[in-house]
Amino acid sequence: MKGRARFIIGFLSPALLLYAGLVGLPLVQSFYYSMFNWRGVSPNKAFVGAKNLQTYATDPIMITAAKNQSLLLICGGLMILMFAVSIAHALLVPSKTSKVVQSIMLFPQVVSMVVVGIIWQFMLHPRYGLLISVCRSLHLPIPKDGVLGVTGWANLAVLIAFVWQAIGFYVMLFGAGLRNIDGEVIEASELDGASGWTRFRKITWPLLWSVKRVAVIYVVANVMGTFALVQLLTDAGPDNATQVFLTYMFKKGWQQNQMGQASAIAVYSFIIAMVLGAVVWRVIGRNPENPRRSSAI
Amino acid sequence: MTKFFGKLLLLVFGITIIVPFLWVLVSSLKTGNEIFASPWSLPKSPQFVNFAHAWEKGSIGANLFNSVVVTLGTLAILLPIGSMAAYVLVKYPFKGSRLILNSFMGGLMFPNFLVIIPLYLLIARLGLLNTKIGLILVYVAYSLAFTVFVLSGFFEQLPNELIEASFIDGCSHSRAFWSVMFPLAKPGILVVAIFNAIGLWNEYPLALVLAQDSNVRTLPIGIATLTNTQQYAGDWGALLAGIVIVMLPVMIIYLIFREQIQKTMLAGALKG
Repeated sequence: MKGRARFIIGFLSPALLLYAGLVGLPLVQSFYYSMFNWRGVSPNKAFVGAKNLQTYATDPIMITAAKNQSLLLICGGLMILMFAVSIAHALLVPSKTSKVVQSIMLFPQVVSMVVVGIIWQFMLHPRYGLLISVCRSLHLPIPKDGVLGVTGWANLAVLIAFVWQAIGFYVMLFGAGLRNIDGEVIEASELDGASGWTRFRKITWPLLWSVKRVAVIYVVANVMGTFALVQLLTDAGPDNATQVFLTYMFKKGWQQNQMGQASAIAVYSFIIAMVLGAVVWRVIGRNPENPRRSSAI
Repeated sequence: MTKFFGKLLLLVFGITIIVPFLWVLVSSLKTGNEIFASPWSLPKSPQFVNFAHAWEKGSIGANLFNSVVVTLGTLAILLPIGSMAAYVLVKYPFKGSRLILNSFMGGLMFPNFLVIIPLYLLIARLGLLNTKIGLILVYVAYSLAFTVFVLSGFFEQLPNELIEASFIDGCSHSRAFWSVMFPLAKPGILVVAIFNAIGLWNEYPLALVLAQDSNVRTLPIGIATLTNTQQYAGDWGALLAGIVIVMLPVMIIYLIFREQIQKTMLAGALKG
């Protein structure tokens, strides 16, 4: 019995110590540091309580970041879900095209986010990019500084690159969901005369509930974790127009040396992520079949 | 009709995904002038010199070496300690083992860059800023969630009788693990290794903050730095060649292990 305990401790402690020390401890400290006016490496720490948190509740760039984050979440999320469900449907028909698409669709996901950001930055480059040459040959007008230099266009570029990078994973996810649906259910619905759009709306879509939940949670995590893409595609510009929480935190902490303020941004971003996660879990956390069944009794 | 639209959708999707990669690949073999003047054409004569430029002047060669050391170093620590922990947590249940397993899983969805400030200060205080070992330790810690999650599923499936039989043969607890269970879990460990290797090879935010010095820079940091400097120096060929060096190994490994990688991604998503 004593040997067993010693064995457990011996085998578990390396992983547990590293995890607690480098993941758990910093997580707790985040909240603590947000209460100081502090330049990080210097020992001068002034307690400012919730002042940093208050400042950043009304900071204009923070509000821009919140808007950008919502744009990615809502527009990006809807685009991803719509495209992924349609493409996953189209992939069910076996063909050469579907085989090729299935093997390349995760490329944007498996290469580094750095590569994704730089590739899109190049494609949209005002002199060398692919977009400018297309526009030139079609005689379309294009902004002088390139699309990445104009507020609005730059936001659209981030959105498109975000969807392009993420979509493959969701196609795979919905593909697995569709394959899990019992073939008999589909056949029965066909006999009942439901086909095409009706069948999708009444049968397939509700049956995908567990996959939908996972997809929405992943979208939330993806959006809240957005950093490298924005950093490399637009460097959060022009003039902070494409700023998101994590790029803003990085700017405050490492480019302006304001560790306390950066921690406040991290705390907000953390709370928002948790709340969004909890909301998603509550709204689509249950099998839609269950409540109906219980209310019928 | 539906079939036609489905095919069209797949075609458009496939082209959208692949064209940016092909453009980078083809452009990496062109001269700067060709990239500018004729973006759609093939290079007149392939400029392999771009790769030499990236390798030496852009110090991609040195970055590649750092990336290999950091990735392999992380795996060398992560795989044994991760599988030890996963094994104990599922095969030796004790009071609190469920809680520990869950706290590892909690790290699965967590955007880890959120805690970068305290982590940065901690690593600085330990004197490990801008060292490979510091980056390796952080990478091990942040890869544990996924590793323990997948491997615990793997060990759970192995029958307990095997452990008991090895006890009868006179094995100690740790002997039973190293010579019986660990070898049996090899397929799972291979998948975890590939998966982590891709993630570590690509990792940017943590390295950006913890290992910025030019002598410890990994490939993603190197290529990002090169983007900022070369764009103005105008050597686009070398820059694109650098990107190819970062992305091509991952794409090849992905194509080789595609089925296992997709299966693991799905398992992680649908169970987690």
